[in-house]
Amino acid sequence: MKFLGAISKYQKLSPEQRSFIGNAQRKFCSTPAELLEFFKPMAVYDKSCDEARAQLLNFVILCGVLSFLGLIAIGVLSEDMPMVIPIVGIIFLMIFPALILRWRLGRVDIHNNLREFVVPMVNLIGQDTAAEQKINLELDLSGKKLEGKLRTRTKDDPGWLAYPKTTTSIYDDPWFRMTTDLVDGSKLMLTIDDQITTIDRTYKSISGKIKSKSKAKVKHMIRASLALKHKKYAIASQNDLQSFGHELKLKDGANRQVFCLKQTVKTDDIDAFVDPQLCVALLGRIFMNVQPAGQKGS
Amino acid sequence: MKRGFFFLRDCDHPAHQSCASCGKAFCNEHLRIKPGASAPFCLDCLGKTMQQTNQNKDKKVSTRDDYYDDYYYDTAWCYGYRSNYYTSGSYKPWYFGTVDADGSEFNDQDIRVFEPSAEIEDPDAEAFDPDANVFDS
Repeated sequence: MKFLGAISKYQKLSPEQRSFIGNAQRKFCSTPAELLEFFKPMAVYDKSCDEARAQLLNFVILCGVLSFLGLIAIGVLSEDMPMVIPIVGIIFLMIFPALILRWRLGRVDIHNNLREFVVPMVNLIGQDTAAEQKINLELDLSGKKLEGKLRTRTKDDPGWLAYPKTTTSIYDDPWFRMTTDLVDGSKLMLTIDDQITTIDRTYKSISGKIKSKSKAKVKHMIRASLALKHKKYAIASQNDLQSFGHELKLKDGANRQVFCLKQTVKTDDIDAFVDPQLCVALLGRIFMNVQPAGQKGS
Repeated sequence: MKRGFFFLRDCDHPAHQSCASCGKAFCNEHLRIKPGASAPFCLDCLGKTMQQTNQNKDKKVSTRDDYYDDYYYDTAWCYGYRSNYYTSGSYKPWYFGTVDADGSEFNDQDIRVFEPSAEIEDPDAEAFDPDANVFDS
C-alpha cells in the first residue's frame, strides 16, 4: 500500500512546498544548502507518489482481470456457490476508489525533472560554490503542453468527412535557468529549453474506420555558459578550441571571456527527464580545454 | 578530504573521527553512518560504495530503496558521482592547493594544479550579462 506512504510524505511537506508542487513555477535566490533542504522532501515524495500511482494502476488492472474471470465464474458456479456474486461485485467496485486515488495523486505530482535533474544539478554545482554563495534558479515544471507555451498550431483539414486531418502544434518550454558564481570566480549559466512538437492525425483506415493517432517529439536544448576571468584563465582563441567545432561560441569582454556550449537531445517521451550528465559533460569540456592565466603567460 | 567537483580544494574543518573503510580522519561534515554499520564512513568511500551498489542493480528508479533516496539527494552522492566521472577519463579536476604525495587520494596524474600566480582577485571583472548570451547574437 504505497499510496499511504505517498500521502504521509505529502502531508509532511510545508505549505510552501505544497504550493510549489501546485503551480511548479518559481524563481529562487538561495544557497545550495537552502535549495536542497527545500527540494529534497519533494523529491522523496515525488518518487513515492510515482510508485504509488504505478501500484494503483497494477491494482486496477488486476481487479479488472479478476472481475472478468469472476463474471465467467458467476455463469458457471453461481447456482452452486452464491457467494461468488458479491465477491466479484466487491472486486469490481474496488476499481473505482483506486482510480480516484490515482487521479488525486496525479493532481499533486510534479515532473520527474525535479528529482532526477534539478536536485542533482544543484547538489553538484553547490560543490563548487562558496557556502554562502546564492544560486539564482528559475524553474517552470508546470507542464509542457500548456496553451500559454504554444508557439504555433497548424491545421491541415481537407474538409468535412475528408481525411486525413492533421494538427501540428509546437510548444516552447524554457523550464530551467541557473546562474551562480563558482569558487574560481567564474560565472555560470545553465539553461534548458524544451521544444515540443505534437502531431495529431485523424485518418480513415483500410477497413473504413476513423482512427486517431497522436505523436509527440521533445527537443531538449541544453546550453552551458561560463564567463571566465582573464586574470585567472588564459584567453582562448577559436583556433585553440577547434575540437569543439561549431558547438562552441566565444565572446570576449574587457575582463572575462564567455564560453557557450550547447547540445540538443531528442526524445519521443514527453515525460522523459534530462540526465544531469549532459550538463556536467558540457561544463567539463569547457574546463578541460582552458588553461590558467599563469601557465600560458598571459 | 577534498571538497568540490570541477575544482577540488582542501576541507578546512578539523578532523574528528576516522573512516571505517579507509582509516583517514575527517570532519563531521564529511562523515556519514552507513546503514547496517555503526561506524562512520567518509563521503568518498560511501559514495563509491553506493555508486557500485546502484550500478549492480537495475537502473530503474523504482529499484532505489529509502536509504538510497537519502543518499541520492545528499552531498554523499556527489562524491560517488565525481569518483565515477573522474575515473571515466573525461575530466581532470582543477586543484587549489599543493599536492600531498603521501596523504592525498589524488596524485598529480589525477588533477591539474591551479598556479597560485593565476589566483589574483579581480573585483572589477565585468558582470555576467545573461541577456548578452552569445547564442543570441
